[in-house]
Amino acid sequence: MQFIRSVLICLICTLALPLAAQTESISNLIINEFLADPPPGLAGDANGDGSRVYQEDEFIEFINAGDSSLDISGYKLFDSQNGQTLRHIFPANTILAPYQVLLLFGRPSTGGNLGDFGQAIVQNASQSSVGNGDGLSLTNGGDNIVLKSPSDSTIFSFQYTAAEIDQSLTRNPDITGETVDIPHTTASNAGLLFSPGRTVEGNTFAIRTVGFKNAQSRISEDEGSINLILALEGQSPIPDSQITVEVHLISGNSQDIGGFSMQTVTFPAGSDMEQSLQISLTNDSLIEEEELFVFELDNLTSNDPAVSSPENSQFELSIVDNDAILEAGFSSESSEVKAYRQVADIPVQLSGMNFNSPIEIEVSLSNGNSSLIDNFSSDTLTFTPMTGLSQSLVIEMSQGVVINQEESFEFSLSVLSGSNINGVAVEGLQLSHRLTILPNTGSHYFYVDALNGDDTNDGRTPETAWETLIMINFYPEFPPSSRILLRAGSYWQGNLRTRGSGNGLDSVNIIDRYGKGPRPIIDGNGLVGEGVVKLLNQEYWEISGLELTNSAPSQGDRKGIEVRANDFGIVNHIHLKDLHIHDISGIPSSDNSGKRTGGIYITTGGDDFVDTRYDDILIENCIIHDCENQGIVTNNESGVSFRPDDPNFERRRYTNLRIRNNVIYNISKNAMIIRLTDGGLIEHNLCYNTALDGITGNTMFCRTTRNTTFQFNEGYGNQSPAHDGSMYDSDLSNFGPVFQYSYSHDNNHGLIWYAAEPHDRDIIVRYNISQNDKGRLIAMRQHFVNTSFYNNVFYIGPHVSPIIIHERSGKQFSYQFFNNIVYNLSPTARYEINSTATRDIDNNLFFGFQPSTQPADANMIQSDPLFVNPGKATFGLHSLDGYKLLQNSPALHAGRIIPDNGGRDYFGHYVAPDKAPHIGAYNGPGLDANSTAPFLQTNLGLSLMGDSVEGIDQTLLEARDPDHEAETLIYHLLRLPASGQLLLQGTALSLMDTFRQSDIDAGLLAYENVFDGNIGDYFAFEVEDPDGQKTDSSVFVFHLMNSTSNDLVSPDVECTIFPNPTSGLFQLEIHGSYIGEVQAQVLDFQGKKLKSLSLKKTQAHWQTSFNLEGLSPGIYFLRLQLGQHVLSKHIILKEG
Amino acid sequence: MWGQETAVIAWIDEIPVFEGELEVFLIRYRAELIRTTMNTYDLAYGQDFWQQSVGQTTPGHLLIKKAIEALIPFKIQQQLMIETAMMRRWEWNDFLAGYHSYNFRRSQDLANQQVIYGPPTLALEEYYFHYFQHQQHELIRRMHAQNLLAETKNYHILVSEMASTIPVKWKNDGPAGLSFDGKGFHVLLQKQ
Repeated sequence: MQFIRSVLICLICTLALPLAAQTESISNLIINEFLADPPPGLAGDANGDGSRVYQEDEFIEFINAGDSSLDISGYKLFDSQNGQTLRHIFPANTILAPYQVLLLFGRPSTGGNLGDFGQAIVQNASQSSVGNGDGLSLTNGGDNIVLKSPSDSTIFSFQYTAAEIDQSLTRNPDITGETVDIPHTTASNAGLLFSPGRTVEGNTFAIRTVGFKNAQSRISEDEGSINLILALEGQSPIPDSQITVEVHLISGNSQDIGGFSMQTVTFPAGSDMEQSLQISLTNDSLIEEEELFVFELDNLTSNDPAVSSPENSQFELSIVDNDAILEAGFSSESSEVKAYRQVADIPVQLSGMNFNSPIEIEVSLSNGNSSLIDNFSSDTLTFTPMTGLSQSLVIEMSQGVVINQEESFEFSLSVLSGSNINGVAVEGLQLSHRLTILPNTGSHYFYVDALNGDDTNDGRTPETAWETLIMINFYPEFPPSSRILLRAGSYWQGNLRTRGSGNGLDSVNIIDRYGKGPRPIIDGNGLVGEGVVKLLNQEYWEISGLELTNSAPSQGDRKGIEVRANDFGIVNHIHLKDLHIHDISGIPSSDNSGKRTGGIYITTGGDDFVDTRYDDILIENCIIHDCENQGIVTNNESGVSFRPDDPNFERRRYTNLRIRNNVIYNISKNAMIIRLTDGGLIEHNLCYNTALDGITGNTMFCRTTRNTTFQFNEGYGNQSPAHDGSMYDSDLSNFGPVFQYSYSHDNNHGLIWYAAEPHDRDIIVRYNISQNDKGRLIAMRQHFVNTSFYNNVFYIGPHVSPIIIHERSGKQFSYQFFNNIVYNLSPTARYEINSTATRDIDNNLFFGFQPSTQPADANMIQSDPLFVNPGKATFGLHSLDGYKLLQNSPALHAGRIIPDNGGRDYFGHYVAPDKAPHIGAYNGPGLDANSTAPFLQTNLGLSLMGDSVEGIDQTLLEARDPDHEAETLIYHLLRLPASGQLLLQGTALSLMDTFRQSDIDAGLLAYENVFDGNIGDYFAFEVEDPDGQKTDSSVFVFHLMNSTSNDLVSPDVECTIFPNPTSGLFQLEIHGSYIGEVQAQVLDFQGKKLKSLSLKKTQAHWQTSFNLEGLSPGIYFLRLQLGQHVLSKHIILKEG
Repeated sequence: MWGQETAVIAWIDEIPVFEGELEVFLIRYRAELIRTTMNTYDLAYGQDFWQQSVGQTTPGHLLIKKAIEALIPFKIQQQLMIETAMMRRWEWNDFLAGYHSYNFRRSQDLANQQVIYGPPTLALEEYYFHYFQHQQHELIRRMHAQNLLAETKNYHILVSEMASTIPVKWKNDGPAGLSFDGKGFHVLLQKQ
């Protein structure tokens, strides 16, 4: 508010100017504030009676500013507008204590003076109806207030010339301000118009205050106690008075803090300004989770009336249950293992990150026949920051013991050491674990052990195992329920072929590993024409636990696993699980020959005489990488070029196919080719680095399928050099494929490629997120009809230039494009729309650059969708939370209703069939920008030498909050480092201290180690934003190195460049015995020589400077020739 | 004292190579080394395979050599990540902490029926390659933003060129002196 000061005050008499006739004490009576012009309306209701009547609401505030009481009984107040008009006679016993306030209103209100005027004496002008005017008659335009003694001696006169300002005039500061001429709103940070009986901020009038020094604190339970600090602040004319105040516990369990409920704290006269009160924990085990205790001050007493405690003076003490920070337990309640494996892993897990010392967890057998498990009774697992949070207890079965029936074992867990850990189960962790060993009975066992086996053995027990796979490959026929078991740690060359089948789900044949150690390896050693493991016309087989490879210097027809059937009928139940297949040298090509090579190949070779197809195919938890040409392929080599409603589809289809939880990477062409599936589910797969070596190929594609679903897959790094470089491809002849809930990023093309045929239909692409994909994000290459594309999100960063929708010229498409968000930060992104397509584009949100080629959308939204934090996803589902919507997002409930919508969004929120959904891939509640919790973006820990100091900057520790700046994010320390101290601008921090992310960003935070032999240290913390939202508690770990542990042996020649990156000039330093000529060349990427210099190295330790002046910023090579030695270093040249 | 510090065993252009990191590559190339040494030297596979004498060396040390060669592009990437402020230094224990956190989060997600990609628990090797592949995208993006790369392909040219001459500095006696926690690398290779 701009206020033009119009008040001219003439203070005839003030406290500082006592008239000679008055006593010293009366001279301490001052006017502190007066209201001559109550503002209009209720805002002018100064006396609090509910109405504004200027005669009643005008007031004068007097204060006794002396250190002794003042009796003003019988004193008279005049105003001089019309001479000496008496307005008030102070009644008998009007005695003001030191710093007491007297408040004089105008004429009495019928409703009374109902405001809260603190400790003030409140009076009304007793002579208000006498003479001219009414009430106090403080004239807005100016007046003269005169105080006279009972004997009519003038004590002071106070003159003002104008006060028509709709507020009071006051001293500022209260009492000690020199003049009473400050508009109240100028003095009051709270913006109050007046404050009768109170300070300009509306507080009780007092000169000294007693309060808690801090409003809150947080301690760990193992600290045992805390001192609450009470502080006395301010000055008083009578400082030598004693003050007492009561500290009450008003919230929290008194029994947990030694029964504390109230205690009196005394500030003796003339004492220090601070007093402490110790609060002690009864027993730290009583603290569960985090307990909050609230203390409040009450009943302050003192001879000094000018001392008080602020209202609601409270202190909040949070005591953190350290035990809760770290919990230990089994990862699961129970597990099963087949007896033949001979080894069981029981995972034990810690929850939290609070490493203070090694944590030893003892796992004991509490129930079960220990003689079956190598007489196991107990074992100790030691957890350190190096071992991490999970370890497995390895249970080995007794050698030579046959387990003929199901055996159960109960294991329990206890903590041997680690002061801050409980063996208490938290969500997801268990205190006991039941292991069930499934018997070997009823099966036929065949053991092969490359390390200790012998082909002259019978191969039927681990002790009499065969040595080579020849014994398996030439075994006439494995009966149902066979178990072919390969010893862990073994290695064989060649391949594994079996004969025979299971006979239904109750008699499945199994190939698996046994014993302790790494997966057994079968190495094709260049074998061509067959898979490293091959099933031919066999069914009811499960294969798991193997490592398979077949690398060769030349291309060839190679496969990791080959499942083939010819004229067989229905092949049932082929399960491939937990396999590691890698380095398969197939045929990198787009031809059929290439598409039949790779990691896993399942096919029908021929069906001229008997219809042949597959049912119940499962590929799960496999790692497939560095394969030419494919990752996983299903096929029928007799042909797949027909429609899904063709009779050939019925006789060749794959039913009940599931491919899930696999990792597939470094694949020449496609991670998966899914053909002939009827139904089928491809989910939870992670596929990256596909279409390598100049070969095109979409990461996952389907061909001749019906109602096949791809979901929850992540695909990135498709490197196709031309077309076909998307995460998904609905290739040819597909009815009703669904591509949903997937994450596509950093592919050379985008989310989906349609290479469809005119009869292809009902393709659904929904609730996917594409981030920084390149090329064609949606590529429509061939004809198709009735495709729905809805609720997807495309984030297009400024550095990519994709074609957002590509409609191939001259082709006919029919598709719908609803509820999608295109978040386009690229000025070069564009659309390619043709004139022959039929499209319905509606209810989408286009934000950012909107190219002129953007298709029409009658109901589009063009404003910012207000994502939480877009463009910041890394890998995995959780990194995509930034694509959720804030509560004021225009995308909320702005979508078009799509009845058959899949029922959920990308994040798992329900999507109703009959209510408007959000636009985009998120359908949860709009998130409050002010309550979005901060999160730890980086927490890397720090390695440093003992007895050293290192900074902790944002590359090591970074908390962020999408709606708050770094300077508002406060780190609360939950535990200090034990072997050093945390420094903020060089000052050691205590547990009570806080620091901010901006301190870290500014490089103000450091850790100083005092090396005590420990090689680890840490501090615990949580980060809070201004809304009180917090991160989970976490720890920042220091790894301490002994100062002598990393000495390196000097090589013959060692070259160092600094600074690097450089702005041009850098130093080249060469150590080594070589003396002589040094040829130095600066090269670009193409090897083009940009600078050349011939130097002479004259001594072992030699240094010269080098300048890249004239070169553009970028990366260059510095190639050095020193006699026979050639060294190459890279230099980063920065701008300016 | 806490557990054994994972030791630095070598430096590749000033970036440390940690024993645990090398182990990732030993496992990655174990099968290949068995094959090539068996085929080249007509060896048999058995309990003492890794310690057999092959000229002046052993299959175990040949595997280490292979692993170090395969590590070089990753070391170059780490160095570039440091130079572009993507990370401050390369420290194996820091990486391990991230790995364990990653898997723990996955296990919690599974317990809560949340989505994960890939198997319930990623093996260390798989996490290592996944992590650096993903970080490579971010690195290239940063180098573009800092005008350090005109084209993405230049990144691969850079790495290839640097890898051709980058020095490996072994701690102490080089690969022959590696003890792997005093147990010998053949023990390491028998790990799950």
